[in-house]
Formats: sequence, structure tokens, C-alpha cells
Amino acid sequence: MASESKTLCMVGLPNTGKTTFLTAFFVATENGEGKVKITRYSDGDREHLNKMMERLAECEEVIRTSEQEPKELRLMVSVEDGPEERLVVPDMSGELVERGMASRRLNDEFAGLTIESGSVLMFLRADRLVAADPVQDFSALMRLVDSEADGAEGEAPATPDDWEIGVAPTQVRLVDVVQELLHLRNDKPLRLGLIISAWDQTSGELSPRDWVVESLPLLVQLLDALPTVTWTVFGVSAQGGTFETKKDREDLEDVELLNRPIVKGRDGSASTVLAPVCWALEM
Amino acid sequence: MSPAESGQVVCSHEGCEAPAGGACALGHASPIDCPESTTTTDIEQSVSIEQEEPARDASEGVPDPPEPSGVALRSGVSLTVDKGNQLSNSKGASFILPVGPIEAGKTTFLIELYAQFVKEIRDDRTFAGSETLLDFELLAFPSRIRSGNTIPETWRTRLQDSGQPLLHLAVGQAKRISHLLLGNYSGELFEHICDRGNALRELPLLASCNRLLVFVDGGKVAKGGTRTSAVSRTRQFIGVLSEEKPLPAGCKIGLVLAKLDEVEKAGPAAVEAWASEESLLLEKLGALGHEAKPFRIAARPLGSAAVDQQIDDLVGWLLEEDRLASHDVPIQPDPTRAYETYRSN
Repeated sequence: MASESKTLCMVGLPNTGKTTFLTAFFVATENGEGKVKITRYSDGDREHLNKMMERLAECEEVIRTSEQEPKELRLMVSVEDGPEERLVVPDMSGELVERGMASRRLNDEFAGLTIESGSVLMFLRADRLVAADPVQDFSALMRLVDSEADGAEGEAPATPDDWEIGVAPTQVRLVDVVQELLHLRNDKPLRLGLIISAWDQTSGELSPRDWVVESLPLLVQLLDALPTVTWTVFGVSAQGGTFETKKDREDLEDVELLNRPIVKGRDGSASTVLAPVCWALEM
Repeated sequence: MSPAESGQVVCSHEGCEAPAGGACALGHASPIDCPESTTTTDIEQSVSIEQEEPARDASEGVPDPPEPSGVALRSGVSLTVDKGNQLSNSKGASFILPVGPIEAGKTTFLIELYAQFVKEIRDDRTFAGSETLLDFELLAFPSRIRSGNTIPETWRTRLQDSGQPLLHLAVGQAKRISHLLLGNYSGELFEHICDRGNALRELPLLASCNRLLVFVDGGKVAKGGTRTSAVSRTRQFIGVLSEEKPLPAGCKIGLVLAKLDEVEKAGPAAVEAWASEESLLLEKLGALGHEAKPFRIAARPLGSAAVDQQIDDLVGWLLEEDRLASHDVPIQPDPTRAYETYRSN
């Protein structure tokens, strides 16, 4: 019988790597890598996770979670051969967050989850940041002109009435999410792990902490200023690389699925795909 | 269409036999072609439309729209005065009121106040939250590369007509979080006060501010032709403050020359002319019994450390600890009440 149930909330805008991360975590626990091991298979439904695992193994991107069919990871595990625990990680669609923040109404189930769970992993993609470059910054302007897409959604609005939060810089959207999560929780303490997905797409010169200081200063200031928030950051490439070209896929196919994820801790030290979940849940 | 299809023919022409099935008195082959005839169907339709129109306008019978589902989040937009008071009562807040002519740089300064935290992490102070994050972003959007920089100035004034005049910014400094409520008002109100007085009727929140920032448009100070009128407006405003005494005790006043870059670009003569005017205006402000301090800022930095330093000085001054306790002087939501309060004092 499980001694305790631990629930972790994953938050992120669409296509920020939540499902891929969850699949990589499942692969690691199922293979008994590290300190978290599955203790029972008769509990829960792993069909979705197994399908996603097979897609990753074949170097195919995981299917994004739909709003209509939220999935979850539900495992009976033990940590370092300790007592059995039920680990629940709902995999809610990023569209729920995106639409909720735009309409200022958050899906009931999702809101309930954020209120109940004291642990959150918040996802963003390193390669899809919308920056807050001021007009005066001509080098940033040149970078924008050179890039095919800046990650922002839709056309730039022409009038104030057309403006919506979707065109705001990524860090502002995340600040908005954090502020509202804390408000919903009545400022109860929160452990927040920031997951920078597609970490392999960064230059690799900065540690995850230094990267967020440089790329998301507004969010870092907020998290540092709030006494109720304990936070850290991980750089994660759950796929281990991109699946964009045939060469990319061929290179990764030779690497065992278990060994593909690249995870860096806050200071840039090598870590594992288990670490963010263990940190968030204090396991 | 035959008369049979369109109903019985009715004719207003005296003596016409068409209604009885005879010939049209005006000679039309078909009575329905005659401008003096009509049919009962037309009349019924006409009556029917008249009866239906009120029904369409009335809300009776129209189902209410479904209740929005989900848990309500805070709006993230500017606050009403009541909301500002609630925030001030629960957390304590300083109320900062920038005033000045239209396009003097007030809103730009408010945006810079927020944008400094978006740009980088500072050593001396940090962003600690905002209940009006979305409106700060909306205001900042025209200055972002993604906007294409083709957005008209009216973008920034839209919020001033919303009835929600307060922006909120929480700033961490020396292990303390200060809540700033920033008034975002149209320059027209300032100009009305210059023209006719009645400061508290135009801007009731004058009675509640901890810091009053009087903006002078550097773009006008830079040119000899417009300098006099720009200074004159400011002098008139100070005159009204002197006579009506709307400010609370302890309120400090900043005399802010915005667009300093334009004054400097105009040459040393313009800078000297402003120095002289600034000195005289400060003298008048000092006579009000409130501490007054001058600032010269350029919200669009030239890369000059000196210019950035001026904005830093102003922000630091806003965050000084000697603010009034917010509950001592509640922000007044009702202009009349504020005015009466002022009169009774």
C-alpha cells in the first residue's frame, strides 16, 4: 500500500517539451536508472507513455497533449529503496495555460492542480524565446531580421485593442503565469523548477542560471524577490538533440534512448532527467 | 406578382374600381403597378415588421450568455481608484502622480520605470511584481522591435480614458518591497488646471499623492519659440497649487525636464536657458512648503551614462523611505468628495 501520493504540476505554453520530458522521465524510472524505481506495474495506465517512448526511440517527436484528452504519468515508485509512493504528474495541454492567461479564466482542473500541488515544473523553450528588444537595439533588430521566426504568435497588432498577451516577451508571459499561480494559491509556499527545454540549442557557454539571468531577467527578479517561492533551474534536452534532418535522426538512433537526455543543473553541472522531479518533490 | 398572390388591392384614388376587380383609374394595366394602390399583404407585412422590431430590441426571451467557465484570474490591467485603495490598504503603497502637458513624456517615463527591469537585473533594485503587468506591456509594445515602430502615439493614451488610471509596480530594494501606484492621466487635465484652476476637480488624486512629478516638455524647451509657453504653463500650474493648496503635507515635488536629449541637441544656450527657468520654478515650488527637487531625463537614452544616471536618481527618489503611510491619505475616488475634503480642511 502506498504511504503517500505526490503530485507534480507541469506548466508551460504549448510545445515547450512537457510531454517529451515526461516520457524521458518514464523511460529512466522504468529502466531503474538512478534513485527512483518503479515498484508496481498493476497500478495506472501506461499506454500513452509507452507510445510516446516508442516515438522517441524512432526519433519521431512526441504527440502534443490535446486539451480534450489530458494525459498523466501515474507510477508507484520508491526512492532509494524507501517506502512505496504514488507519483502523479498530469500532462496538461499548454493550450490550457495559453488560453487561460489570454481569457483570464483558467481551466478548473488545471487551477485545482496548481492550488493543491506545492511543486511546479515550468517549461520554456530555449530556441523559441520572444525577446523584449527595444527599438534602439539595432543589433537585436538585425538578429530579428535574420531569423525566420521570432517565436511570437501571429501578426504584430496595429491598435491597442488588437494587443493581447500572446505578443508579449516570453519572460513577461511567464511572470504573468507565476503571479497568477501564487495568487490562486493565496501565496502559499511553492517549489518551482524552471525547465529550459531544447537546451542543446543554446551555445552551451552559459550555465542554466546564467542563461536565465541573461534571457529572462524579469522572471528571475520576481522569483528571487518572492519569499514564498523556492526555485531552481535546469537545462534539459529530453530528446538529446533535434529530429529535424535525416542526419540528426540517424545520429540519435545510434544512441540508446536511456542515454539521450542531456540535463544540466543550475550551475551547469551534468545531471539526470530524474533530477527536476526529485528536486521539485523533495524526493 | 398578381393581386391574388399579394392579397386584396386597396387604392387611395377616389373612385378607382381596382379594389372591386375593375380597371385602374390611372390606367395601369395591373393595379399593383399604380403608386396609389397597395395590397393587404403589404400592409400585414408592414404591421408585422413594426411589431417584431421592438421584440428584437428587447432582452426578454433572449437567453443569457453562458457563464464563463474556469477559475477567474486577475485581469492584469490598470486599476480603478477603488482597487488602488484596496491594494494600498492591504500592502501599503506610495502614490506617484506625474502631471504635465500632452506628450511631455509622462507615460514614457512610466514605461521606462517598468522596462528597466525587463532589460536586465540591477544591483540596487529589483522587480517584485505588478498587478498591472498586461497594461505595462501594452504601453511598452510600441517601443519594442516587434512592433515595427510604426505605432502612433495614441496607443499610449488609450488607457487614460479607461476610468482605470493606476498602474502598479512592486520594487524590491534593500530587502524591502515597495508598492508604487502610478497615476496615468492625460495631459489635458494639466492644461485645464493651467487654464482655469480647480485643481482638485480636475485631478482629485492630487490630494493623495506622495510624490508629484511636474513634467516639462524638453522638446518645447529646446526651441526658443516654444520655451516661453512651456515654462509659462508650468508656472501657471504652480500658481494654482500655491493658491488652492491641494497637496497633502509631506508630499514631495519633482520638477522633471523630459527629453533632455533634445535640449542638449539644441545647444548650450538652450541648456542655460532651461537652467535659469528651472531655478525660478524651483523657487516657486519651494515656496509651496513642499520639498522640491529638479530632474533632467531622457527616456530614450543616448548611451550616455550621465543621462541614465538622471533616471536612476529620479527612481531612487521615488523609492525613498520617507513616504506617507498610504492609509493616512486614502486615494479619493470621488472628485466632489475630495474637493469638499480639501475645502473643509
